[in-house]
Amino acid sequence: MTQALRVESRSDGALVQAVLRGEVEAYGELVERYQDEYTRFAVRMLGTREDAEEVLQAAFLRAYRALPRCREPERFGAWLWHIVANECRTRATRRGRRERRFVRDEALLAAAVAPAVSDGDALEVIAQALDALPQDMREAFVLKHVEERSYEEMAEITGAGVSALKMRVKRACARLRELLEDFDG
Amino acid sequence: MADHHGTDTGSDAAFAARVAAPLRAAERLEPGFRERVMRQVRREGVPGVTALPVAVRPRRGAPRWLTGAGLAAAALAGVLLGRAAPPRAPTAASVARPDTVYVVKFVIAAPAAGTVALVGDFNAWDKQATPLRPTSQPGIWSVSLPLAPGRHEYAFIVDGGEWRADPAATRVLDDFGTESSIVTVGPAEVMRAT
Repeated sequence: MTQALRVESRSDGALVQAVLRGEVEAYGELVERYQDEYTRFAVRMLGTREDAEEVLQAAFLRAYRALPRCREPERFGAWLWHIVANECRTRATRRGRRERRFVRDEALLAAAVAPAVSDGDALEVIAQALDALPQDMREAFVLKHVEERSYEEMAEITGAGVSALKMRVKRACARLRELLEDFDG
Repeated sequence: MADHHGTDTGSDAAFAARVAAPLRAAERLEPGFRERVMRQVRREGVPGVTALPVAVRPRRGAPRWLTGAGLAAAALAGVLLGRAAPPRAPTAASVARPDTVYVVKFVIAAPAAGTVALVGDFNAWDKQATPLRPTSQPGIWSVSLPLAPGRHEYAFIVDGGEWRADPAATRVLDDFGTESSIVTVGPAEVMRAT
């Protein structure tokens, strides 16, 4: 007779407490649980998967060192969002506009008017336009429309007020309309 | 539907949805990400449990005690009075002699608390490291400890879980969204200048 072994995954709070009690390997479960959740955001903010991975490694390590300061271990994911957003902001600021991933490719943008634009081309075109936005507008647009966060969640992640975030999203849309005239309905 | 800015939010939403659709494509990290993080985690050991170096040698005689400026109705921080130092540019770390010990007294009013601990950058935010003791005044807790000259962030942990910044001290919101308090340690002329 075989017996199925039920392994119940521990909550975020239980894993955080386990790490603080000395069970360092428990942090690996938190990494596994959350590593994909922020990858898309980091790639959209920074432009490349390589930069995103560096920032996510830094964010997970920063969170690890600051675990004693995590006031609500059950909300580790939300706390980590804040750290990831900060790391992306810091990296983007350090990189500066001189090292932007994209040079505005007029030919590619012009080609976007062609009726048969592939999904890959559409992503490239839109990613170019996104990269041209100021960082705070890019962050607000990605959180709202790509990550589909509520304004209250965005306020917690970014530390900005809801009104400011709404304005940033609105301005991001306006700027993207200018950059992507031919995508506008 | 228009918002108070006079723009058509309906078409904004439709535009944003069309632009965002390709951006919602999933992105994946290279395999082995977890192991790359954990390799560093294992090197660092348990967070918040590191021995602090003894950074200063006491001068001959008793160390200078820096005491609180009196109790307020709410909590208060240890306010710092430094020992005299030769006149120099007033930055705490640059003015303080390397063998100067500054002992800071932290005081808080927490009448309903069972335990109070001090956490800060000087004890790796370890809530086991620096418990406060009840004083002879009911509801008042305190602890004194030596701190290196310079700026320090700290907070109190009440009953093992409640994070409490010092209402009588300068506060700062750190990168993690947590509110902590600031104390600057140094000679008197530095304190007057800051």
